[in-house]
Amino acid sequence: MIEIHGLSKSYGSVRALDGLELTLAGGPVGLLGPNGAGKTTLIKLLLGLLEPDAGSATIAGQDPTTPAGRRALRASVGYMPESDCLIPRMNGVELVTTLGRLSGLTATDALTRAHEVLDYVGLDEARYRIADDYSTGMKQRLKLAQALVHDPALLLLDEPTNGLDPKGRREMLELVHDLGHAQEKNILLCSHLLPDVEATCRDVVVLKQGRVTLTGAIEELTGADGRGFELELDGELAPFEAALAADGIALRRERDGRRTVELPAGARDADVLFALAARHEVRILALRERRATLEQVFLAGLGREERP
Amino acid sequence: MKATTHTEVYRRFQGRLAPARLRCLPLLAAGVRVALKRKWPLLLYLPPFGAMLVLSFIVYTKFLLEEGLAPAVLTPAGANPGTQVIGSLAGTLIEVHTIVFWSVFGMGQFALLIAGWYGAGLIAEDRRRGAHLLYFARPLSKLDYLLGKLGVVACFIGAGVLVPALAIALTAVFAAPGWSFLTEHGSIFLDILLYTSVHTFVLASFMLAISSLFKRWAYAVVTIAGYVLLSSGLANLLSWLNRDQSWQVLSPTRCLWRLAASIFEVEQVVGVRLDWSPALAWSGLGGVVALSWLVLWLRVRRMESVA
Repeated sequence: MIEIHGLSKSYGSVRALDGLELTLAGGPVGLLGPNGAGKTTLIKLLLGLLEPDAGSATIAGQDPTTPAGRRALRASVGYMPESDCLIPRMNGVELVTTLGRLSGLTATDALTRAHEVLDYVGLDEARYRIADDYSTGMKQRLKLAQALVHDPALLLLDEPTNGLDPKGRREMLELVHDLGHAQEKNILLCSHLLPDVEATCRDVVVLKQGRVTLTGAIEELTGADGRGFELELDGELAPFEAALAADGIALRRERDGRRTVELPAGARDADVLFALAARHEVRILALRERRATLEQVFLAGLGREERP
Repeated sequence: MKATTHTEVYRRFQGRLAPARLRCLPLLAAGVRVALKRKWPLLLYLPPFGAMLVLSFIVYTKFLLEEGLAPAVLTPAGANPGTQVIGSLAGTLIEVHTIVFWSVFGMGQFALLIAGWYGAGLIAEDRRRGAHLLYFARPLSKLDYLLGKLGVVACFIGAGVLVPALAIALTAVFAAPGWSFLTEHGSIFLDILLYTSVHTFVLASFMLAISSLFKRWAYAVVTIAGYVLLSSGLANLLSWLNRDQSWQVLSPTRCLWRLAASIFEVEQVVGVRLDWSPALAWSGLGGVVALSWLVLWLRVRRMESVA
């Protein structure tokens, strides 16, 4: 869906993107990165709003640097900007209809689609109110509706939960999840909120200083490696802990009270834990493989130490 | 399937998107519709349309008097023995060209107000509310965007200048005996179209250029008013100091007056002599348009890349 090769863009002496290499097959993808990582620049380059200094980026084979490619590409992309954006003095239906017309829908189709997508995002009777008077949550939904009006193949969503209260945030995430999974839309979701990405996306790309530092499926990145375990124990733990240490296994107590162990490299399975526990009369009530959180993955991607 | 928090399913679009041609038209239609939501600014059209009625009546009367007839309002007691004399005087004193000139000249002043009201916020408000973020993520070129916005302001200016002038000319056509006005002075329609097109294009381009420089309607209006007053004052001052009317070229409104005078064959208006070179007026207006479009292009290019 998206092919990026050697993409570079600088603003004066600031290098926003530095020879970016990335291939995204499709589906819902989270684009993570700290401020200044180049996320917004990447979206602008994909839409053809900026000219790259070097390299190329294509969406479904369309090149945004040529006028024809840009037109074709923008017809197949729905963009939900991060900041507030409205067409002055238009109500919800008028705004979505007008933008549908500009995307290439006929007048009748644009009006029909406007009502359909406004229904979908839950802007019911409010659609006839002037959008300037909408609440933040309604404006976010309206922005999503206008991005969907022409039923694009790819959605570029820039911080879609920005400024939303918990209920509004949950509703927005449900919509994005539905679009990405049930409707099988290709989504590139820019966010600095890791739970948003974790809740809605299948894959993740981490950017740092204009380069991709980590990419892959969230399931795989946060998946168990067969060496880390969470334990629930009962009995006298001191001798058991000493025996584990003698075998090179550290029993740790996490902040939330969980106990975890990390088997040494080369350990084949967790049988050693059961053997030692039996020898020291400790009962193992539960044993689970430990999974990394997206936050840990993200921080690892940024090359920083994981939090204790 | 639908989002668990919502009641409606997502429906796929089964039709096809049209190729990206003339995308300025939906933008124009939406712009006019939004502008017409506020009704009271339409009061700006009352003076031009009132003047149109009066001037049309004068033209109608002229042709009646020339025929030796008198409208009932002029001869309440019935037949008037002096109608022949009055008719002769009317034919000599009332020239349709002059009346059309006065129409476009007078309406031009109102057109400035109309353009200020409807045009000053067109790009400024888009920038302030972030509408350009939505527009330029669509298959909409910069030229389409500019033409759409230009079309909106041109519609409102045109309605204030073109319609009254055409109405007066049409009155003359229908009031003149045996279509004589059309056969003898039919070219006046081309003159009207030429002048109002130039007037509308210059004013709309200038208005949009100023609008693109600000984020608020009010700042754009003040700048436009200030520029028009200052340029006219400066043009008058330099013309008076140098005893040379050519300095009037510094004022776009004076250039439009000169153009109107040239097209409708009038030599002076409200005490201002309009006998300086029309070519200079064309150059002045060309300069204003070129500068306006340069500003517009640079600003809109920036809007697109900022989007």
